[in-house]
Amino acid sequence: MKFFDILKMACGNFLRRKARTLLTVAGVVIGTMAVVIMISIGEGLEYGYTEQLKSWGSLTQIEVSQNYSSNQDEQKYLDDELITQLDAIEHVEAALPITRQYGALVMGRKILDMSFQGIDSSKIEYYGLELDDGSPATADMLTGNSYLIGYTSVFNFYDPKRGWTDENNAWDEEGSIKPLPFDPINPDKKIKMVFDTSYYWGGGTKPKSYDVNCTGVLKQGGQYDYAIIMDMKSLEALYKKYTKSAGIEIDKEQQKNKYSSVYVEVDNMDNVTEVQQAINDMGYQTWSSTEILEDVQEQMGMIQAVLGGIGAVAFLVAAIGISNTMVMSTYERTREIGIMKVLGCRLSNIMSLFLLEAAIIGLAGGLLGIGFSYAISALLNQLSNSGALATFSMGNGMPISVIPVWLALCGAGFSTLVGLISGFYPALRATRLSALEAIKNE
Amino acid sequence: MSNTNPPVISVKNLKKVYTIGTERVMALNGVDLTIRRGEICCLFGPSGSGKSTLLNMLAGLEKPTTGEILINGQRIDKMNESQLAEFRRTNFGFVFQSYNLLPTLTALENVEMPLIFRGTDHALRQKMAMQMLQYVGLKDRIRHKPTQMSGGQQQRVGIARAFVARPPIIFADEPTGNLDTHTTFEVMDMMSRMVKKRNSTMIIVTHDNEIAEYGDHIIKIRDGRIIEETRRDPQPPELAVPAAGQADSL
Repeated sequence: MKFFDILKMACGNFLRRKARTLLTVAGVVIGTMAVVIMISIGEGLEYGYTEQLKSWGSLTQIEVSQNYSSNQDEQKYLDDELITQLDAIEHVEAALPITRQYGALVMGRKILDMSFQGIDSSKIEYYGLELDDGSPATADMLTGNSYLIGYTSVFNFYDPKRGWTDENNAWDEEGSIKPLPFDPINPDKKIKMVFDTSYYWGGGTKPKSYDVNCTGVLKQGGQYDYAIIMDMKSLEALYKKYTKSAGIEIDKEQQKNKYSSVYVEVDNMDNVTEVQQAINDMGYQTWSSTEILEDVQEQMGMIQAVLGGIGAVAFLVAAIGISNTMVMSTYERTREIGIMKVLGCRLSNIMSLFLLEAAIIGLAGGLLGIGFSYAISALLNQLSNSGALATFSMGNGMPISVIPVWLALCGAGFSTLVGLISGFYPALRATRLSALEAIKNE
Repeated sequence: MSNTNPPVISVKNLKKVYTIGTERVMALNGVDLTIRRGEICCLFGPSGSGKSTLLNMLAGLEKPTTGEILINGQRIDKMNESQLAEFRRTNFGFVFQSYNLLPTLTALENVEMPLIFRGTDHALRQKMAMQMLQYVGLKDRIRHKPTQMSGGQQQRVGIARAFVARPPIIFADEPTGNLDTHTTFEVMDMMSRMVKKRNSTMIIVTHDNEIAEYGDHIIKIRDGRIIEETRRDPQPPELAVPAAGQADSL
């Protein structure tokens, strides 16, 4: 018997007992939905965590810090030599040094005291600086004494004599982010930069201030939300001017650490651990959010296994339903099977016919189940956005349930497989029927 | 003896014992027979004589307790179920008293069945099945389901199915048992003509004298034994020749 003929016969039989087939398929639909929805919730949680981690910093970024050694000669520093070494490691796209100077921006009576971060603007595309409008920051924004400021930081100008007021809160009562209080690129009052803020707290003489100009606002919620970014050479030049005028001696030991922090951008998330190991071997400490992600993924795997297990109970019931339907079918079709056997049909063909019928029930239920799962998933996410289920969501706009393509494919494949397995006993039963007994029964 | 063709079926000392509870029933008690090619052989006897048991064993549907069954040179009593299925598929056609058509399939599909099992191409098997249905006079009923046809029509579908794959041996178990007299002759004529035309062999089980008349080799069975065996000249020419050349192409 040709496979196509068996398939045609199986399809014909599928539609023969419509009510019973439909009920059995409904069982499989529910089973598939239970498993797929449960796993999709696990996927949704993981997606939410991953997105949250991404907002804290790129998942392909490694933070490099000093390993304090008791032996002075072996002490490693965050310096240019390190940057060169890091750039040479395989899978490293760029080593990103950052310098920091404590200081403040002054606008009339208000100050914004925050450390200035100096970056290497020749590698600016790797720092992940994203502007408020979504476009990346470019090197020409950091020429001269230009700076970029984080969205939330703009709210943090305050009068030290009056202290922190409601104006400094970037969020309104409903928890939404407020629009900018003023445009820092074209402010009403001139904004200047100082390194010593003690005067504004009521002590000492007014410090020397320097002209700086803002060229952009960095995206709210990102890694650089509480930051003022400058080119590191400009920042250093300004600081030198300041120390000279104020007559401050720079600590030599402190100077050995040219950079306050160093990040490494890796080409792919999968290579992060490998690169981290290489840097550790060089005698530095490392940290990346991938470490958290791995923990999270492990936990999510467990949650998914538990949720999937709950869904699997429904699937098991569906599988028993398929078996039951197929066994009933062999009882009803005893005579038909007998005739086929007498006419010389291969036992393997009869086996295939029943297995295929069971698999078709599984596949049909699986496909319908996937379809319904997408609908329910969309509904859940709708409810999470509109507030009814918001408590279960990982954050605003984060979906509760995510069905990736692999889950849909696995769902349909698994239900077909379950159909096949459930059909095995009935199929075996069909092949073992005595042809003679079968055609005798009137 | 008029038929000198080689034997297709030979049976030696065939016995079948059924155990019902603690009682042993001897259904066949030492049967020896030879059936030659081209014969229409009637197994004739009252109910309970063991004639159906004999047919079932010749057709490989039941295992003998002891004895040999040789068909076309092969010991079918030694075959396993898969080998028997294969043997039936390539050598046998079956006509049953209760027609045994598949109720969900159309007449055409029922006739195609043995060819489907053989893996014949769709186009070819439809052509062959159509020819057979035309021969049995059901050309206008090919899309009908068995339940939409009379007993006589159903049995004609059964005949078409038995002959469509051109098997060398046809088994017919009380083929007219459920039919009226007129239809009985129609059906018997149809089968006999086809067997003679193709020089195949047919074994008919019956308890009806009139059916036995169609046989050229009549074996009377009673209580599991052959009590009388007669061979006679081939049937009159009007039965041996297809009516109006209908079967010429078959």
